[in-house]
Amino acid sequence: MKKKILLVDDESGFTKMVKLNLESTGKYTVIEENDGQKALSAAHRNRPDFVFLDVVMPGIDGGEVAAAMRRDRVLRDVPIVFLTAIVSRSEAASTDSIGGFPFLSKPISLKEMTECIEAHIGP
Amino acid sequence: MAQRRRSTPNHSGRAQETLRVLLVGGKPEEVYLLRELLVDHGAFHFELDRCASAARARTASKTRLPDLILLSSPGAGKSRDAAVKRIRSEFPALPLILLGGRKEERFAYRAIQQGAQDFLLREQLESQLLVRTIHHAIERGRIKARLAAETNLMRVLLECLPDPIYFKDRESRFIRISSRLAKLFNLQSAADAIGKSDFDFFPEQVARPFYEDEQRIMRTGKPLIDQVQDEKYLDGETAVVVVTKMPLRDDAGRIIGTFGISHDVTDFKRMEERLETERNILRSLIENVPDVIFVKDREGRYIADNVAHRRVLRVKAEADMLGRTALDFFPESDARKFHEQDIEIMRSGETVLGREELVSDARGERRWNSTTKAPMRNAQGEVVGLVGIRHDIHDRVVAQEALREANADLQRSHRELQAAQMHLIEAEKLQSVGRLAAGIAHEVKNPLATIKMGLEFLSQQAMPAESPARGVIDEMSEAINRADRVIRELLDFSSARKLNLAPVEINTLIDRSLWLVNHEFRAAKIEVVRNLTRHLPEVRVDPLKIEQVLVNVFINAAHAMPAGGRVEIRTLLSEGGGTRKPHDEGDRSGVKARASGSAVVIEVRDTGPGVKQEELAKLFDPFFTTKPTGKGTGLGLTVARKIIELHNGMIDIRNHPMGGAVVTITLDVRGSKTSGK
Repeated sequence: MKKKILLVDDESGFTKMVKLNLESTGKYTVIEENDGQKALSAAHRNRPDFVFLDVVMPGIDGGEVAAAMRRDRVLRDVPIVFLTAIVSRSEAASTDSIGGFPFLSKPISLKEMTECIEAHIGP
Repeated sequence: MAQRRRSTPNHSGRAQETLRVLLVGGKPEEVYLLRELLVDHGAFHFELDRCASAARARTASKTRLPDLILLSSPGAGKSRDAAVKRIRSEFPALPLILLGGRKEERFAYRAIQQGAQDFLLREQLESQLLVRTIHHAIERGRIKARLAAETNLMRVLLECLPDPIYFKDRESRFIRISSRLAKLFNLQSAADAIGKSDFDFFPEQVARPFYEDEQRIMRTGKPLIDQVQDEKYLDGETAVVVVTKMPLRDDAGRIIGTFGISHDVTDFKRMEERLETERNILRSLIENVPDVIFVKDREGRYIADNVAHRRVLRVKAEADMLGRTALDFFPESDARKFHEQDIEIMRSGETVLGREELVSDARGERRWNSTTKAPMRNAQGEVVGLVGIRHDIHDRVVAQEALREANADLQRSHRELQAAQMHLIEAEKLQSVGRLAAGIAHEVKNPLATIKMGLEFLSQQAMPAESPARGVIDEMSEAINRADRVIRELLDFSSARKLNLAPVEINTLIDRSLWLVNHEFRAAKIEVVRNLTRHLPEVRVDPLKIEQVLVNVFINAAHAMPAGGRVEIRTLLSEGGGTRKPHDEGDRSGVKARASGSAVVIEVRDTGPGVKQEELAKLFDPFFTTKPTGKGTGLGLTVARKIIELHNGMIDIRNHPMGGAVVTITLDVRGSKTSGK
C-alpha cells in the first residue's frame, strides 16, 4: 500500500513537481495543499503517513500547522519535516531542527526527499 | 704804534733810550745850539735832524721816524698855522713842541689847541728845560696812544660783541652798556642808558633781584659767575641768559660799582629742554615697558638696560649691570650662543627680528622669549654695539603647544570616530544586504526548488540516451545548483551573527579545513606545506565559522593557482603584540587593534600571481570578485572578515615580496566576545 504524503507549500508549482516526482517512484500518494488552513482539514480527512511543511506561508504558517497537528489526538504522531528556503548552510550545519522539527533546505533533490521519508517511516 | 725802542749802552753800562728829534724850520745854526742843549740826560740819548719846512718833514722822516717834532718859528701869519696843521695831520701820533719868541705866544696858543704839546720861549731855552719838556711830551704822547688803543679795544668790545655788557655805579645805575644791550633796551644809543637802572627796563620783580645781587656783590666782593636766569623785558619778551656779574674796582681796589656780561642761551635752553623732554619720554618708556631692553657694546658688555631686564636677572641697580656680560648672568652655553648671535649681528649689520628662543631667568627657569636685536651705530655709521628687546612669550607658547596637542588629540579622536563611523556604516550596510539577501533567498529558492523538481522529473522520463535534451537538462541542473550556491552564501553572510564559542586547537581546525578542500587542491595539483607551531594555546572561537573562513581562504588560493602551485600554512604565537599588525595597504580589517595580549596568527601564502594593487582595497567589499563568472560570488571574503571581526580578530591580505598573496588571520588568545551581535 502506497504511503500517503501530505505536502504543504504555498508554491503550487513546487507541490506539483514534487507530487509528479514522488508519485513516479510508485511508492507514494501525494496530497498537495497550498494553504495552511486547508492543509489541516486535508490532514484530518486523509490521515497522511508523513507531512512535508513549508515554514513561511501566508495565513497560517508552517509552524502553526505543525503545532495544531501536535495538539491533535489523531494527528499528533504523524512525522513532520519542514521545508525551508531561508536556512543558511552554516545554520543548517549547526542545527538540525526548527522548533524541534527536522527540516530540509530548499532547493532539494528527490533523493534527499525519499531518504528523508524513509528515515522516518521506513521504505 | 710801531715805535722801536733803540737802546745803546752808556758809560755806566745801563741801557739808554735813544730819542730822535726832528727840527722843522728855524735857522740852520739853531741845530748847533740845540745839539749842545740836548746832552745825554740820564736814561736818554738824543739825536737831532733838521728839515727846512713842514712840507719837507715827511721826506726827512722817511729813513728815520722821529719820536718828536720841534717846530721852530715857521714863518709868519697864516703859513705858521698851516704848518702846524700839516704836521698834525701827517704825524698825528708824534708829540709836537713849538719853539718861538714872545711875539709868537698867540700863535702858540692856537697850535696847542690844534694838538701841539708845548711852547718853549727861545730866549729862556736851557738844556734841562728842553730835555724835560721833550721827555714829558713823548711820555704824554705814548700814554695818549696807549689810551687810544685801550679805548678802541673797549669800544670794539662794547659795540661788536653780541653779548650784552654793562658797567654800573654803586647805585646800580648804568655807566656804560654795550650796543647789544642798548638794542635790547630799545635805545637809540648806548649813551642813553647812562644814569638809568634795571628798573627802567625791567618789571620790578625782575629788576629787584638784579639790584640785590649787585648790592651783595659790592658788599661782599664776591662775583656771580655763570648764573642761569630768566629775563623778562618790559615789552613782554623773555629770555634765558647766563649771567656773570663782578665787582667794579678803581685803581686803588675800591669797589665803585659792578659790571657784568650775559649770554643769551634761550635757543640752547629750549633745545636742551626739548632734548630733556624727549630723553625723559624715552627713558620712562624704556624703564616702564614690561619687555626686557638692553644695550651692549662691541665686546658684549652691558652699557644700558631697563628695570625689566634687571628684574629678570635679579640685579638691583643699573650700575651693577654696567660692564658685565651675559656670561655673568646666563648659563655658559646660553651666554656663548648669545655672544655668537651678537657678533653675527654686528658683523652683518642686520637686525634679527623676533627670534623665538628659550632663555633662563635668574631662578634658572627656562622660558620662551621673542628676541629682537639691532646693531647700534655711531654718528659715522659704524656699528658700536647692539640694542636688544626681549619679550616673554612663554605662556603663549605653552598655550599654543597645549592647543596644538589638544588639536592633535581632537584630530586623533576625530579619525577614530570616523573609522568607527565607517565601521558602523559598513556593518549597517552589510546588515541591510543581509536582510535583503534573506528576502531574496526565500523568493528565489522556491522557484528554484520547483524547477529542480521539474528537471528531476524530466530527467527520469524515458528518452534516447543520445537525445540532446539530456544535455539541456544537465546544463539546467548545473545552473540551478549555481544559483543555489549564491543564495546559500548570501544567507550565510546575512546570518553570520551568532557565535557558538568553544576552546579550539587552531592547528586541528586547519587540518579539518584542509581535509574539506583536499579534493580541490589535488585536482589543481597544489602542494600543501604545513608549517604549524606545536602546543599553541587554545583559542575560544566558533569552530564551524572559523572553518568556513579557512575553507574560503584555501579555495581562493586554489583558484589563484589553476595550473598548480604551493600553499604554505604557518601558525605562530604572537606575544604582547595582540592583534596589532603592521599597517599596510592590504590591511582592511578596520578593527581597532588591542594594546596587549598574545594572539594566534595563521598565515596562508600561495604562489599565485598575487593581488593587483588597485584591487587590494576592494577585496573585502561585498560582491567584489576577481574570479571568472560562475566561480565566485564576491561574498566569500566579506563573510570571512565578518566572522573574524565577530571574533575580535583581524584578517589581512598582502602581496608577498617574493610573489603570491599572503592572508594573515590573527585571533586573540584571551578570547572573543562571548556572544556576537
